[in-house]
Amino acid sequence: MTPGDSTLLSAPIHEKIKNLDKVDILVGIPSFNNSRTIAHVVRAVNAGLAKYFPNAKSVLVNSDGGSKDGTPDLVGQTSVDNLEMILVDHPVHFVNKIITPYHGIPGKGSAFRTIFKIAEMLNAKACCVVDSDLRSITPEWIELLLDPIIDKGFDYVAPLYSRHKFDGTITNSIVFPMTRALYGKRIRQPIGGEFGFSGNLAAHYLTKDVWETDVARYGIDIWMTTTALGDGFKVCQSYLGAKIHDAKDPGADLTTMYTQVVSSLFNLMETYSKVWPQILNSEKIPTFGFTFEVGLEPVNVNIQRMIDSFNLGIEALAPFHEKVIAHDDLKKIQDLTKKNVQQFNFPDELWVKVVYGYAAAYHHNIWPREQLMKSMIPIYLGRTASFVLENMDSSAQQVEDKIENLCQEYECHKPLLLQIWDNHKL
Amino acid sequence: MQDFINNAILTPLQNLVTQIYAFLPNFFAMLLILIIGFVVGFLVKRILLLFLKLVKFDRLSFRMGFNNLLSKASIRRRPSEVIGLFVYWVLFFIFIMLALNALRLQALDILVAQFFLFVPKLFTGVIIFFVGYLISVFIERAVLIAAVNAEIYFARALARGAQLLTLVFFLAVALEQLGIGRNIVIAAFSLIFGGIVLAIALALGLGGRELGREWLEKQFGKKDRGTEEKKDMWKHL
Repeated sequence: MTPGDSTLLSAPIHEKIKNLDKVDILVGIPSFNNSRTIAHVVRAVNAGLAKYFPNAKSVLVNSDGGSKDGTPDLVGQTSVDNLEMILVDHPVHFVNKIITPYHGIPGKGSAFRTIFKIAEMLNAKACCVVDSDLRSITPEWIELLLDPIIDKGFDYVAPLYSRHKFDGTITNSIVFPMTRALYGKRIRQPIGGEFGFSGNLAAHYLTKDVWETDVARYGIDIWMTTTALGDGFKVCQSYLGAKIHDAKDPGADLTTMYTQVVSSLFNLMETYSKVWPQILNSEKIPTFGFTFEVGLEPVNVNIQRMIDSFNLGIEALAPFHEKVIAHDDLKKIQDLTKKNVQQFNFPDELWVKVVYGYAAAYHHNIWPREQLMKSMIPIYLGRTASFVLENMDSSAQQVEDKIENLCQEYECHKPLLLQIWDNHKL
Repeated sequence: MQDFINNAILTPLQNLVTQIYAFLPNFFAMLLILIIGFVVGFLVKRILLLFLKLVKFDRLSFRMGFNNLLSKASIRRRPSEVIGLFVYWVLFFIFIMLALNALRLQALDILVAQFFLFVPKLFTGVIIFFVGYLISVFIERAVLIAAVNAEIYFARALARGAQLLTLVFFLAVALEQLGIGRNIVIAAFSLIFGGIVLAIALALGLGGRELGREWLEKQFGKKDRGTEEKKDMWKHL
């Protein structure tokens, strides 16, 4: 038990857990002001549990960050109407609910910590977590996330979605290819948001003292995936279909998101510094679910704005970049600022060298780390603009092929990473 | 004649020799103190260098921007060496003062006493300025990166301004500590700072009303002015 575990739950929640004693399945829903969507998510979870796991004793845990819009009340009130329409058998147990605020640093990671703790106390065999702002969740998601744990002996189930070709740019340009190159497993959505995991893995997560770091915030997803990989748990992925969120402004807090996710990725490289250097290539992981074509909403991308940010950052942050990126590569990046939109092209190889340079600079602590990570954002925006321009007319499959090429660049340049990891000299 | 020789030459000579004899122990004491000062300074410098190497001070200095200060001053030595030399010379200078005190010359005694009264203030002043410089570098970087990521096109000027203000503030505090031009420093600082605030207020009030209104509307959600950019509606994660 890590420091602070005893204060995670209130006395009434302890009492409720004591009364429940043990459960087979736990489904966690972290939330914060999600009254518009959470009822749908709770209904889908209830229906999924009733339809696919009718004989299992289940609990739904809502770990809330202090919502002011009545989100926890909605969780308590929501039930599934017309359940008989989707069920063949009547469930043996009805789904229990635990609704609790979480403690600690405000963020998704702290909410997950509370869910892990309850899973451990209830000795849950299989668990999954789903976002509370989902519009596209169906009961099948619950089966797809839990079944590989219950029936096939996996410890960790990552999600696999159909996404718009320009969606998930941090995932596509850094997190997926780098996780694959580092740990050798091709998990397509390492920071997807929905995960299935065994009770053993939940207990394992609780042994780590990371809850005062970025893991408590946006870093939780990459941390869960990497911990499962780095500590040798059995991983797989399940195809869930399209992922559609509640409409928000997704680009609003890019700096925070980017810094926390990529810092967590780099931090984990230090935690598993004995593991990833030994891995030389990657392999596919077992994939469950029925893949199908889905229609995706078009997205608006302001390319000129990204290129302007890139130009500004490259000009103003040159003293930072000089210490991180090799001279010749930096020159190539600086040359890009002289190109117009039609000529703007940020090659894969150059991008991989930038990311590896930053990983090594982070490891060698050459600047205060938060400043270091933020100095990378204009370059990321330049790379993203280039990717969008290059794939403006590409199909989803063609984009996937290009991401595959990028992954191979990451794998092929891994010796460079190993070299600068040990000795960062530019 | 004999009396004349005794009074005019021998007695003064004897007095001189007596005074030299009386002065010699003080002189040797001075030399001894200087040698001890040299040895102590040298040893402390060596120990300090070892300690700084152990705590990786040069890397820390690089991170904090102390190297920039040295390169701007055309100093080619490593930061740990500079600190070592500084401490060596401070110690050696203190021993020089002690050595002068050992001569027991009244005029020097007053000077030495004044010096020892001034040393703590000098030391505090130097430390305040040094810490202030490090803080100003940190602020400059933080403002620069934040401004660049907020797409502010005069990011560099903004960052330099923030650094300059921080430096002026710490310089004022350091000079205040040294007791140099106390009132002038406070007045100058108040004038500069007040002037900047007034300039910003006037600029926003007169020249930047539209900009200010747009910013406030953006912050508080009024979106029907037709000037707002289309938002990027894709997810980065």
